Amino acid sequence: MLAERMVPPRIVTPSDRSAAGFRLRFTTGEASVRFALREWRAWMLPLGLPPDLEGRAETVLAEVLNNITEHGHSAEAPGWVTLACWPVGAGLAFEVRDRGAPPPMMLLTPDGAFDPLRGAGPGDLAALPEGGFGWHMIRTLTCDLGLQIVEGENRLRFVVPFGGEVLGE
Amino acid sequence: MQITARDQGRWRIVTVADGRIDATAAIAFKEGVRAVTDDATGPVILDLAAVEFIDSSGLGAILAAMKHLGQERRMHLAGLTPNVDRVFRLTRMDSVFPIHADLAQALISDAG
Repeated sequence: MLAERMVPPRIVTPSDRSAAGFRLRFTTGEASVRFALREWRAWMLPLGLPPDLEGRAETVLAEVLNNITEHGHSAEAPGWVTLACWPVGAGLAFEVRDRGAPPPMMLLTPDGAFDPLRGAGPGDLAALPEGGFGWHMIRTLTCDLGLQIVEGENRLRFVVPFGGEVLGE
Repeated sequence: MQITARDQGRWRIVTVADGRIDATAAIAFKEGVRAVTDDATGPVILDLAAVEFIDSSGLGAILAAMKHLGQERRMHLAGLTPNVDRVFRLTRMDSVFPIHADLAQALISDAG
């Protein structure tokens, strides 16, 4: 796995303690998501954000990156992923770019029909799903989730808000 | 993936020492839990107090482990850290498992 750590110039203003953003470029592959999350956490933790926001952001980022590396690419066809993260008034903003297979657009919108229990009764083990949770968590934990595909490059943007989980999902 | 097990009364206590059950570790986790619970005859407590993070793959692996035990060997969860608890809540899987604050609470609960 290859990676370049690109450190943006730090912009320090009197009341802005975390103006610097995070940017990482890495190739998909085994353990690439763990690597990217570790690098991102190293930048994020000193910001002193509420632990709840940190946890929600890491959950979303892990699901997004897992989707890109596992569903958008393969071992035979790896690719570069660019991850950018920066603080905004509402919380933490992210942009993730890659050139692999894009996710189906319908996954980005609340379908109102996500029912992981699917009518399963107590003890109805066989009816329980083992998958499909990732996009539900991405949708529930983000604001302004959007995907643009520009000349073969997927650009996924989202904000993880200070305020907590998005209700109504 | 560090998984150990011991018996206490009716319970088989399975302790996960790894801090992350994620996409990289999910298969090893599933296989590890299966290996230490195959001969369990009663309920199982999965002690996750050391686990700081799970993703949807980890959740799926925990579900698979629970399904493998079947109806007669109920899987209880203990010691969910905040991030792990959030994943179970968001996906509504917290209604599928008996969940206890810690191992001690699990041990004094009704088994099964």
